[in-house]
Amino acid sequence: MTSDEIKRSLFDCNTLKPNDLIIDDLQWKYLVWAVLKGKNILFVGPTRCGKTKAAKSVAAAYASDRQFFSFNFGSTQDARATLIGNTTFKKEAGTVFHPSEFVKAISTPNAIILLDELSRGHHDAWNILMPVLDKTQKYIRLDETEDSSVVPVAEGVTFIATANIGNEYTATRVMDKALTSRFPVIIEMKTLNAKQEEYLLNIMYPDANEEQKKSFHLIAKISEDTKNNCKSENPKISNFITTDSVIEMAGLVLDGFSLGEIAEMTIYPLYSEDNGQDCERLFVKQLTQKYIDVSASKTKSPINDPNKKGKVRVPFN
Amino acid sequence: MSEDLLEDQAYSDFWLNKESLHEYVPDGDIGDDFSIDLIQLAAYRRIVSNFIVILTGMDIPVQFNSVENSQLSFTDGKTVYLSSTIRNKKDFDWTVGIALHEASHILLTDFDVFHSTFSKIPIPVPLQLKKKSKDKNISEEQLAYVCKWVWNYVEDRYIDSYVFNEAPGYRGYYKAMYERFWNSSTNSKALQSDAFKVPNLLSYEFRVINMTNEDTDLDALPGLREIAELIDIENIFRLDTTAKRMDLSYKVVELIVDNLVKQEEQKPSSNATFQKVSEKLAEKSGKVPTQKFNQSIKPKEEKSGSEEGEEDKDDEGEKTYSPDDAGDISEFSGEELKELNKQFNQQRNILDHKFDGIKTGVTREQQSVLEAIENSDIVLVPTGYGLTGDYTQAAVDSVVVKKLSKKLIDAGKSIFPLASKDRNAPGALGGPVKRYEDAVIKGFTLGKMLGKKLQIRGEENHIKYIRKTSGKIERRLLADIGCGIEGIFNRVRIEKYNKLRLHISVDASGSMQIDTKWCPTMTCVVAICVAASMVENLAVSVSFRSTIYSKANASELPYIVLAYDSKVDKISKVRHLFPYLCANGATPEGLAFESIAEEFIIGKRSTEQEHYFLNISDGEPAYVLTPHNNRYRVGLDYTGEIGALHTKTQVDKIRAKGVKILSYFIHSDDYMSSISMPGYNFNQLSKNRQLTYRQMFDKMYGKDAQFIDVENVTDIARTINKLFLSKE
Repeated sequence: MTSDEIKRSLFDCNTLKPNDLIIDDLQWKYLVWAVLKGKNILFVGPTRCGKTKAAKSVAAAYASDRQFFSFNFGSTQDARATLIGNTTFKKEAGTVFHPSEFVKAISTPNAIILLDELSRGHHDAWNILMPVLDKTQKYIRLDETEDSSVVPVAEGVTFIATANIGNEYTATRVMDKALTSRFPVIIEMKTLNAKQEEYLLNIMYPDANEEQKKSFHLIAKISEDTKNNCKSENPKISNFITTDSVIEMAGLVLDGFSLGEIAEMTIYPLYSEDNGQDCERLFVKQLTQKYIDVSASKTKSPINDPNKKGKVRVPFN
Repeated sequence: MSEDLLEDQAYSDFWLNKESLHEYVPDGDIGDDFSIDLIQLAAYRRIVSNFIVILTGMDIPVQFNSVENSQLSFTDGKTVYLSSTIRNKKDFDWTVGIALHEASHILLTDFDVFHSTFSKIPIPVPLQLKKKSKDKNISEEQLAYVCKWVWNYVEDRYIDSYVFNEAPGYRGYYKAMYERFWNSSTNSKALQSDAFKVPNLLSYEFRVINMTNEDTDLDALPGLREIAELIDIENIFRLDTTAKRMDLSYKVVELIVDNLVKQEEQKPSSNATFQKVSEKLAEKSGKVPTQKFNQSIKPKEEKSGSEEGEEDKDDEGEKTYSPDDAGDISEFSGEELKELNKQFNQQRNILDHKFDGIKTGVTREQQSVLEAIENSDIVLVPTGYGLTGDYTQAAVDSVVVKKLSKKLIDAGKSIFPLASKDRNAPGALGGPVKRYEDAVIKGFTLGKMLGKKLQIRGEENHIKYIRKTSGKIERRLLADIGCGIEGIFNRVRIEKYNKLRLHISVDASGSMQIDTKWCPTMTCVVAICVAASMVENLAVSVSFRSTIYSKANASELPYIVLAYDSKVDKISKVRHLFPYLCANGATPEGLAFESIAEEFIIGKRSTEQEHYFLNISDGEPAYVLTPHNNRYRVGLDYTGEIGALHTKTQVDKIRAKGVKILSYFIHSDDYMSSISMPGYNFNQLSKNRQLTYRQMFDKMYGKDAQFIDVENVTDIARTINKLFLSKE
């Protein structure tokens, strides 16, 4: 694409962004630019923050003229079989090589290839990917011998990988610098804040009534508070309520569960009761009370408005 | 009493449960004799500080008010100081309310502006206000005082409204706080009475502070209605900056000054001279002097004829009033006046963050003990479920100390019953008793020998099997392919020991006689700790179990202290602190195991770590809990079969979790054998007792029971090695 074409595409790229994808406009613009330029893109961030969704969304935006392939490295058992292929023996034909889906994908011009959960992949898989992702090499060798056939990466292929690195994420394998440096575009996805989660819930459940929307707001606030505490210098809890959990809770609200019941069923079990008065569950109960203690919320204000006749309580009645 | 809750409910019931603090909070008022309360206060502090973290998102330090005679919580802008007068469950509500109030000050109040404005007299006020004040004989000091409380009042209403809206679930705590400090019947009566109707500084202060009470009378003073309209409490959120709130405060002060009747000109007097001296001192320190003029409510004094004459003279121009005249207070009894005075002062203190002359709080001595408790991370763990016949109810709370420190040892027997000191030894607070220290030193010598005997734990064996049909290619067998041999691969089997975690629980009851049991036991424990420090993959933690006397419950409670953990402590801790430990108290064996099983003995399980538990004791469990009106209405006799069976159950539970157990029985000639009385064969009696203890010990620990000489390093090494090397 020429520079002018890219400029034109970026000008109205926000129209391609789906409503239920919460990502900064600038990040989306950068993502679209990287896809148009055929750059390798790496999404990083904590679990369930929308990395895969963002990757799939940008692929869907260009689905009409660019083929999409997805490979999950978290579930890959045999790296060689998944990324290169298998060799079988047939009586009639002798030894036959069956190229993998991945080989087909990289051979497809302008393909968008998602390397999902790359940080969970095996070292063997990372080694196979090294030359594929390297812009100076861009090929995959089907065997270890010198004269074995080589499949080049087709023109315009974009690799989008997702990984749980950075931020507060501590699990999975640590990806080495050699691999991450093959992704010149790194987009750091952040967990959603309360406003963004509330917005998302309102989009996902447009038929919710006012009372239910109020509950969405409170659930989003609880989720945000858990995230903020996890990020603080001296966190009192070890994990936060993910956006997926928030969506599940909103579903329960629609099905008639009260916030207290939802907290009892979905929030408290996430936190340990160990350690007596220092336990995480006690802290989370205190936190949820801030928003969902019905008896307190219905408590009449002790402040009387002297300007009104009779007992008029402010700031709530 | 809150009208929104049932009589026996509190807003803290939302999170209080038997796993947290419910069990430890007495339902009724238990008075001042709340012996274990420092441990409880530490727990309250943690819980209340949680609220502050949640509300502000900041890690604001929380401390108990160390000021003598203090009952309230306040903040200096950096730390929240809590009241220490929680006496029953309901006290939580208003305490949390006031803690939230103070925390939101830190969040929303600009303390820099506050300090820069009110730290020096004259304060920077609009010129017009200054002139008006002068016309009414209001001194700069009085003006500063009025400006300060008005600003604090506006600020308080703003931050309270913020929390009301941001944290609807916490409204209950605020309600409890308002009910206690603002909406009391005494205040209501005063607002409806003819008191505080003289348009002077005192009356405006009382009526404005209590303006949100539903019994307020806006016609009681001129301009009060305009002040209420100006503050417009319903729309207090419009004052979203410090500047706006400050500006409004000055307007309110101006309204007050406008409506004040000209007050008596201040005449020089002995009191005034004293005030001038205190002012000068205060100016030097850059602070506003505290209580500078008498503002307490007192019966109106009869004026003498000459004074009346003087007043008459003033009447020629304008009538004047004393600034501290409470008006007609004839309908109040002396007691009521006292109560009103107290409540008014409390309100002022909340506004002013100044808390002198209220009620008993934590003394300085208690504060240092409290700090020791907090540093040592002491918690109460409910134990003994089912022992009283109720499986949902804990029989007793065990006091668990998670970190032994010198401060805790110095804090004294009321908090640390296992401390022993030689007051004559060098050092400000005395030193360890010589024979205890000798036992520890001996342990270090034995430990170095034991360490050499235990070093097999770090070994790793590699056994290579060749001529396998799969595995890695064995290069030197490649040529065999030509002969049609398929077994050209090798496989390596690595044998290495997992990491070991050993927890040692030591019986520190009074029956562990110093020379025959305690000192040899300490030598053994220290030896194992030293040995572990020499072995790479062996971690050791040591706890001592005994009991502590609780005055509030008029009984002993199980007491367990984690004295050493090689993962976090240096071996020097053993050398420096263990000599201070002595045996004292009863033997709540199984209860102690139950309280520390999950955290210390079983710990976090992993495939790469094996857990071992070594118990050292001298016989049967022996502990009695006396029933008491407050917490433990049902007593507990934890001796004989009951204690042994409960201990066996706990040991079985630990074993079922995959922890390998070893138990040393400390035997010695019983002390009875040394008594000589005609007609008794004490030697035989002692032997019979030993036999009974051994049988009981066997019953509790089964095949894991070991009867060894704990000072014999070979015996220790043999039994421990056997334990470590045993296969499932």
